Amino acid sequence: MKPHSGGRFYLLCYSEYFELIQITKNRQVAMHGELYSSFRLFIEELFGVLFFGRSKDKLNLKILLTQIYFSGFEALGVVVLTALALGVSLIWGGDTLALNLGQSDIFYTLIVSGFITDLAPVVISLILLLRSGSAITTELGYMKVNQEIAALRAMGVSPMSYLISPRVIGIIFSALILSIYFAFSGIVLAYFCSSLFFNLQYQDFFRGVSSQLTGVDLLIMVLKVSLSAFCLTVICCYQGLKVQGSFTEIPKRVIKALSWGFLSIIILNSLISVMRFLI
Amino acid sequence: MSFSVENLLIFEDSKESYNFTLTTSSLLHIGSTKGKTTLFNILIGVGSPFCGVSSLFGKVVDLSSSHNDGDITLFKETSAIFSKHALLSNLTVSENLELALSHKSHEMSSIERESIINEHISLCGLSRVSDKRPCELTSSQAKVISFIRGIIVKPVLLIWDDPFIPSSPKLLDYFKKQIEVFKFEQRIIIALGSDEKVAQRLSLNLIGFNELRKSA
Repeated sequence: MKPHSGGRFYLLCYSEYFELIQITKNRQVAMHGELYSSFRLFIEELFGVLFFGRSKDKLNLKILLTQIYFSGFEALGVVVLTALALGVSLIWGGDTLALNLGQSDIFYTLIVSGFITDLAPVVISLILLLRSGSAITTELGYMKVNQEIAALRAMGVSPMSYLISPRVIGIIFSALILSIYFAFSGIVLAYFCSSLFFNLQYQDFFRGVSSQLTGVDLLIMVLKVSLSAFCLTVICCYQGLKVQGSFTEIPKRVIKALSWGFLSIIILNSLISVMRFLI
Repeated sequence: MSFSVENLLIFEDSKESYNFTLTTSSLLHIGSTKGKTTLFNILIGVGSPFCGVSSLFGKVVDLSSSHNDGDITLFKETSAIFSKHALLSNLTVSENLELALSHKSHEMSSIERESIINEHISLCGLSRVSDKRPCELTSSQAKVISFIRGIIVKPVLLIWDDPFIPSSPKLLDYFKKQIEVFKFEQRIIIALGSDEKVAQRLSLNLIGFNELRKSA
């Protein structure tokens, strides 16, 4: 056989292969229904429901409260422990650095940066991504495979207003609660460590922190935490709804949701920090 | 009251398309592995056919291409019974039925809804499972609850995937009565199944699905 005819044979195989993929794809779409064919359409409908009242259905309070309970309340222990663990190393390193440089202001800047503006939003968002994001993707994927979402749509219930929007609002609200706890426990720990090891007085410590903390810092924290929570929930919900017809797809979607969620959190937080620096 | 399908080509590689109009409750007899569930998904609007449309009272039934909640309003008139029951796993049996009723009949009070639900559940002899979640039910109990969810909202069109004959005479009687009510009120049931006996036992018109197709 001549080499070029072999090449043609492979070319034919490839074209048939792609044709077959296309047919399989069409079959899958017909079988399971493409709920949101693109991420843009998903976001458009979510914004329509959240901000323009496009849905006729009321917000599902049960799912909202359950989401706040699981994400905002049950995660408290993890968040406080993380704040304490991170706080010890931050305070120890920060205090040593401040003593070496002879600039006590650096210590307070580190506390504000660590527990309020920079570290806190990233840590809170990552905890939420790992705890709630993965759970959301798994739950929605399971519902999709079990045709529960199709059943909702057949009943005339919009999955966006019934399932997605309460989760988005719940996670944003939980993220704000958790960041307050994170900041509170971190700053209290910083005070105890400073007074125990460096004999820092109560008044001096809180005067130092308040001198470094501005309204803009709090605004930045709220902005970072809310936007990160929004992004991670949207990504996890979208990936959950992209599951088609098999349970084995769920772990793959969870991995995608966590990877994209992680990237979005890091990029978003860095962008806001850079923008703040530039402005 | 009619449900029609025009030039429906389920897959790109399908050789025949379907054209039909149904005005009475019928069982479309489709052999197993011939795309019954696929057709069901298309008819209830959650799957897209390769081409063609299905319409209810002249309005096109296709949710898959829409991303607007407003287009779901058509589905307030329809209902579906899934072969895999598709009950929401985080809700109890009565909550599942309550969800269906509350979304279709906004004007009904919660007490009215509760009494309707209890009535249907007790008629089926399933009162003891009303507080259980779907995972705690047997397969046949889940199917019966799914049937109740489909008919409780009094839809104009009910699409039923893989209909079954209940084993207990009491349940069979309940099913027959509900189907009679549909006929009396001139509402339509479209059942998609592979068992011809179901049509006879549940008094549905038997239509061979293959007879409805024409070359594409």
